[in-house]
Amino acid sequence: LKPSSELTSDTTEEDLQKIEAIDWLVFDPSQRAEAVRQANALMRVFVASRKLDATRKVFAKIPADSIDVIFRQWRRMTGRTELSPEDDNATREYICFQAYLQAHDAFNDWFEHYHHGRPKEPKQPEKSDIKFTEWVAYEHQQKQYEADLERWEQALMAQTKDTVNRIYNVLLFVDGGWMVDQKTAEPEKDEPEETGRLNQMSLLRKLCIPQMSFLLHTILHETKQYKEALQLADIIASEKNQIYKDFNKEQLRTLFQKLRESSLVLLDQNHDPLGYPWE
Amino acid sequence: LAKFLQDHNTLSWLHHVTTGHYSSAQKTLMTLSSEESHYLSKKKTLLSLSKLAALASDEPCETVDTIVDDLNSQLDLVLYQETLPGGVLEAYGIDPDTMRVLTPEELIKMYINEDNTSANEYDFKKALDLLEFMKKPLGDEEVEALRLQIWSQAILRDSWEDLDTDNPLEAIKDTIFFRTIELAFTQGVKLHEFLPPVEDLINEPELSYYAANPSFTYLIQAGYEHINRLID
Repeated sequence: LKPSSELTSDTTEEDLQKIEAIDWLVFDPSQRAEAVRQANALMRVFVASRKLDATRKVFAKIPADSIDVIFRQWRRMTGRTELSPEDDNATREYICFQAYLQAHDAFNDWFEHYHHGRPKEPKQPEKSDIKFTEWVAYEHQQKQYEADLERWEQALMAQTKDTVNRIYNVLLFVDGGWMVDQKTAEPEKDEPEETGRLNQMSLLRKLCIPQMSFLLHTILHETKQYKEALQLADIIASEKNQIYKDFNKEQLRTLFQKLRESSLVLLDQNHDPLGYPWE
Repeated sequence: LAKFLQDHNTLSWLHHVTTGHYSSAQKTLMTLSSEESHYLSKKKTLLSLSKLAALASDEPCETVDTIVDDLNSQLDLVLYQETLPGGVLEAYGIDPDTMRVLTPEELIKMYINEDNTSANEYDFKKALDLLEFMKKPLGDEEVEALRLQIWSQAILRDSWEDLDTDNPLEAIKDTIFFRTIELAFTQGVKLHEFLPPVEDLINEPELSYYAANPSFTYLIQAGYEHINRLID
């Protein structure tokens, strides 16, 4: 088991130079839409090469109010409230990256808390030559430990829920899915560039959607929600979101091996393989 | 072990997954889903797993497509039950989390029953769509009787006595009956097969009270004529 950050590569000097270049575009609000487009293009490449830190750095270069700024600039220039298809797609893509980074961050926090945050049980002193003071100290530590454990478990439950929601936020991204444009770009738009962008986005789905699904299975399985882990099949197979289309055969088989592990635990607990009572 | 597990379908798909026989896993899961009647959610997961197993298998594309189409249609039926209005579930005391598998006939009755107090054209359209899941041939007596019953219930949702007969098309356009027809029309349904003959409808026992009323038969016939002009 590894935290998702271990799946990543380091940021190089060259990457940093590209990231710094975004600063020049952010300076002038009228160029904010272009800044977001350039940032998106960089993030597409970084996510594809699993450079999560570099992706975070790009994202941080774009001020948090940028979508507002883009809307205001557009309204001032054109008097219209609806963005051009190109800007609309770019802002949506930017929010997709935000959802993706938030899901990863939540998973890493959860992983840290789950594997390293657990309080340690105090060691019980040997019964034979125990001093009264040692025993009192032990009892005190034990009580402290029980309180800490309860706090830890409650925090874990809250964090699990939050992380699961953030991963769903990517898997079931509103209105047509993560990294799927809602508008068709205008015809005068440079075509090879646009096709390249659409190809990259489709590849990102094929890379990130199975990965996010596996992270979700890890959380559900590790927090003993085995029945829910099996129900991941419903979400992935659903025609509404068509998540299964982003899995290749090998990834589907990996998924089955993971679901099988959850089933085996359910069998051990005297349930049927899907977590229902035996009939 | 394989022999032992083969006798126990419930477990054998896990064995197929272990040994990489996804086509066998797909078939077993499909059989299990068709046998499942206790829990709708369990039937759904068995169908979903069967679909994913088909996609993970080494079967040729066309075979996979046929299997997936079949499973999708069964998942559609699950969706019709999942989207039963909350008020209907409450009226029948059904817990959506643990509900059993309902038959298409049961679902139709629940969609069109008076318990579905806020039923609109979408509910009646769903009821009509559900006729296709009854696995009976086209023109089967039972199916046609149920089709008439759905349309009669749609008619009974409105009070036809107060409608303005001088302006028939304007008068009927807001009835659930014609809104359902309009919905089907906009969805590209072939109305010839979808709508019952007007005489059958008027002779339906449930509508006998209305059928005796000349302004009702006039309004319905005016509506039918209008539709026939639209689709010819």
